[in-house]
Amino acid sequence: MSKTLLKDKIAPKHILVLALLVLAFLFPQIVTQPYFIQIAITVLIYCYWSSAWNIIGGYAGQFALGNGVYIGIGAYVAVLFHQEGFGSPWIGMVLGGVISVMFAFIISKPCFKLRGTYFSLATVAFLHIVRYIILGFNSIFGMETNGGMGIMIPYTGRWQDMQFGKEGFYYVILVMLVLILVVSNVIRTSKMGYYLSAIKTNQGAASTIGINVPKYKMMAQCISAFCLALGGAVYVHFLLNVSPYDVFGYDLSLEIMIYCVIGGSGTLWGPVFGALVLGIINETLRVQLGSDIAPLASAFYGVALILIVRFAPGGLYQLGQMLINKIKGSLGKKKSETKEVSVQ
Amino acid sequence: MAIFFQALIDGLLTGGIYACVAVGLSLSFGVMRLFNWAQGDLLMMALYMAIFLIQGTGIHPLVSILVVGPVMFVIGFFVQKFLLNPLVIRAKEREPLSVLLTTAGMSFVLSNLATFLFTSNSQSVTTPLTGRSINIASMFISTPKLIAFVVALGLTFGIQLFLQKAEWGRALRATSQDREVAQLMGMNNKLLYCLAQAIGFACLGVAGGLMSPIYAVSPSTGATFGFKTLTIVVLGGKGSVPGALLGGIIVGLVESFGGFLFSSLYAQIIVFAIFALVLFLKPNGLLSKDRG
Repeated sequence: MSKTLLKDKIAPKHILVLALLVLAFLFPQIVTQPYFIQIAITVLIYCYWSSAWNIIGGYAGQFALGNGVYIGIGAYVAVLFHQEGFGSPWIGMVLGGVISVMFAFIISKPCFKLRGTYFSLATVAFLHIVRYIILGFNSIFGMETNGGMGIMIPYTGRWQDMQFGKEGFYYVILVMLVLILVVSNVIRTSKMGYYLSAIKTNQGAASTIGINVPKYKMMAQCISAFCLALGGAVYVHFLLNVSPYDVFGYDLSLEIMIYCVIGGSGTLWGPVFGALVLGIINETLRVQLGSDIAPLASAFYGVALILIVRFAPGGLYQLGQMLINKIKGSLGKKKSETKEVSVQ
Repeated sequence: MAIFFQALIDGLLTGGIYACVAVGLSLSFGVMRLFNWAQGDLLMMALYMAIFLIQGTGIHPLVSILVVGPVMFVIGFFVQKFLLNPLVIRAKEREPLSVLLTTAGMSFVLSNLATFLFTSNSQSVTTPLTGRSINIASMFISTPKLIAFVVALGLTFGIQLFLQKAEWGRALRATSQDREVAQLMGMNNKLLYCLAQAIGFACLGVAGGLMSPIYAVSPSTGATFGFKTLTIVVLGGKGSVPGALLGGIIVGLVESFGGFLFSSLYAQIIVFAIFALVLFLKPNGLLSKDRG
């Protein structure tokens, strides 16, 4: 009896995830137009970044608005590593992740002493500092970065150079997304996840019951920074160009946060959901209405954010869950009513 | 030496303009503890209004203040009433993140809407004040900047007086210290917040009018000024209106001397580095008394 109940509770969710995964993997086979694959890649990378940001912004509740800096660091390190002849950008990507973690470690130590808005501001300050440094210098440590012009990545098409055509990128980023969801899920259901959730709810109380608050916040930040950096490295190789406007843009950081919050920060599927919905709406608007209207599509994000914060602070994901529960609840009621009738 | 003094004067006067912008934010962030992320974009909006108004009617920039200021006042009142007050009432914490997010959303809407409506090209207007300067001992003092500086001083003084002496201002400070108790004492929190935000927006309107002879406006103006104003307010200290003036002048001076000694880009990096240092060492600002 209990076994079947358990099966009833878990099975649909797992089937749904599996179906989604299969659909995602088959997507480039079904929809072969390069244009759609291009959009899919963009949407997927935003899903990935949003999920990475969710670890610090959602689970730990620390609104690190400047975390786009790690995307930039990851991207620049990977590109420079290859350009300067040290080796494959794959190694550069990992190195970028490590450097991002080191950077996060150094700047987050003082940042975490600040709370709420001040913490957000401090992270944005560091984003701006790094951005202006990249913008202002044509070379850094003797490596050519060309300031605001950025670096073009010569096309070779070899996988060693992290170039594999649109379909290849789609699968690489999809695998990365699956990995980060697995990591997120491990964090969420582990002791660390519960600690982070306690910190998010009430930092003072969390510290009182013996949680090492700075340590766990730092861990969340470092994991988030590492994942953001990897995404940055892969994405610029897809674009074949890295410039401070793209990867150190303040808008990018904000967009990732917006996706996450609209989808539902602090949930496993929220960020993916948010980036999928908004990304698809944005791209469709852009195509249907032309590029003149593109800013209007971006303005739509702002409106969506304001509405979500006001009316559904838990995000779209929670909103959907509530709806499903309500439907289930009303169905359940009917069932129980009929049961009562039959007993009588 | 003359260059030194020139840089000093430029820095001070530019600081005055920054202060004008920051005073408004210091009311909302400093006193009400509501963080307005869209400050820069609202300034952009005011600047667009002023420039189009002057382009269209040919009025003097100082007259345009009399139009843009009140319009911004009304906008501020309604933004607070319909967008922010519902969040404040719901929030438990003193500095609600929901307000930060909503204003970030506003910033996104405004900057993108501006790009859509006016394209990303910059707009400027030539007014009777444009390019005018007073020449004293081989130093140039830009007239519009001087006016802005004087107005910034006046605004700071006026708002400080309002907060310290006026019944409404004192009520506002009481509300910022403890919303619930203030309400129990019979204060109309919602109306107070609307008024304070309206005054903050009006300051931006005034700043927009004052800046119209000097600056060209484009959708990225918001991003340029937004974070700078936040820096200034944090430098000055929350709850401190004179602090906003001081912060504005510091940033103005750093930019002016940084630009004169190195380059304007270095100057920006120095501004942010100072900002980060102040955040870490004295998070409540240079002029703060309390520590919490």
